[in-house]
Amino acid sequence: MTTGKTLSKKVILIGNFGVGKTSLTRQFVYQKFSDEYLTTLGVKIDKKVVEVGNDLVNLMIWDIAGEVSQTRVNTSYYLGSNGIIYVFDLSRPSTYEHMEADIEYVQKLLPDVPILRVANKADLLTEEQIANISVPYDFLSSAKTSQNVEEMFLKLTKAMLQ
Amino acid sequence: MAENTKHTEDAFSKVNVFFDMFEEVLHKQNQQIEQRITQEIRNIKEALSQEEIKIQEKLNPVLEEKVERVKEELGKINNISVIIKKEIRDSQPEMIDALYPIMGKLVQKFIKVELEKLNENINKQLDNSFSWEAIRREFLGLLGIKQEDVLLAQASQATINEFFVIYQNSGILQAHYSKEDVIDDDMVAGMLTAIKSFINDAFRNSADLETIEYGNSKILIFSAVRFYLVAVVSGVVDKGFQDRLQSYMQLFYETHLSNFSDEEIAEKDLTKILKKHIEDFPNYNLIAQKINDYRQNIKQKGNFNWKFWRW
Repeated sequence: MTTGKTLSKKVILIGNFGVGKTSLTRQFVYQKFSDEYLTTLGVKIDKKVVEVGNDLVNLMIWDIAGEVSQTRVNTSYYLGSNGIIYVFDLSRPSTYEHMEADIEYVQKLLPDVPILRVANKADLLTEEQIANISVPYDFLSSAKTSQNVEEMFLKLTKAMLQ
Repeated sequence: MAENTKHTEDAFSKVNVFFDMFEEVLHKQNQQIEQRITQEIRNIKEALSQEEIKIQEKLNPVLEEKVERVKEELGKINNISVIIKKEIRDSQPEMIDALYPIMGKLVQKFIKVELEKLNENINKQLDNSFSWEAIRREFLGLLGIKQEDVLLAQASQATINEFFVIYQNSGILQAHYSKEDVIDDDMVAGMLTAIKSFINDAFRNSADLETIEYGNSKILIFSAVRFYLVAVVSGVVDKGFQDRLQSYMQLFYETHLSNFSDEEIAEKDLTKILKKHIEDFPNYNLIAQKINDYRQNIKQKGNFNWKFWRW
């Protein structure tokens, strides 16, 4: 039972094709709408209510299809976002090679918005292989085993409320 | 002793000779059997190949005939669609007669449902005999306008079923009015924003989505700066109704949204205010609309750019 406020926040999930953005969202929320919207509109929206202290936060999660590039994604989908999750696939270096440039581009559109770097598909690599990856990340996740899925959304929510 | 040993050796040598002979006989017999088997296999192989040729000779004409028949049948099937099209073109009255029972029932059902709705609306109005609307009907009757016409016009009037106040960029819902519960108002607001953004990006911001039609309903969108307002309307939505609603949406935006910060808006009970406004909308008549439009014009003139004028 909460006695605080109810707030709504928009979170966008970005990253290259096939890194597991949709699977992470599916793991986090019970989806009402079909994934087909992702292929037709290039975006799919889901909702999850998260409790932070006494407050309830309505997370509106925009799962954006395609690469983070000025020419390939409808930039309007980014507008008004309160938080960003950049997802990459640990097993495919091509998905994190341009991560910093992509983040710089998104931060120009959305200055002062908290961003999380999420290294997904941790289940595909051994601990030794993971230790050898030099790219920085905030969370090591796996949509398959649900490793850190709840945790990363909760951390972002707290960062958005600060 | 020595004699005994010699006797035994002779006996063994005789037995050995016997076994050698026996072995030779067996070997010869085996060779003969092997030859016979080889010959048998050769005969069978020859007979089989001859049989195969015979079967092929017998089957070939039958197969050819069957293949030809299949080809003919396929050709007929391909022609069926052409024949059907031709038949429809040549015998339209007969086709209508054939389809009428199916189409007729569908149309009949649709009309029945719509008439029931209309009847229900008229009954509601008649039940409320002492309402302002009843007095208005009486008044219009004095001016020569038939009460039936007024009732029909009122019964088929468009009604607002849903109303959303949504943040332009984020798609976050600020307030919602609904006659019936929708699947999830937050998700609907988000998806509407995504569709709107998609249209803006696709046409490079040269066009803004104003109307979406689905089934018997229309979604009317009023876009302002920070927010956009969406009304889901059913019934007969004519140009007059659309203009009236657009003007009303603008009035709502200016009264409750445009001059307030996000924090101030969040503190208001906007949903309650919205509900009252939607319920009052039928009273927002032509005179009120004209006053509001006139007010808008004055305001726009007040914002005239005098700096530019000096140039």
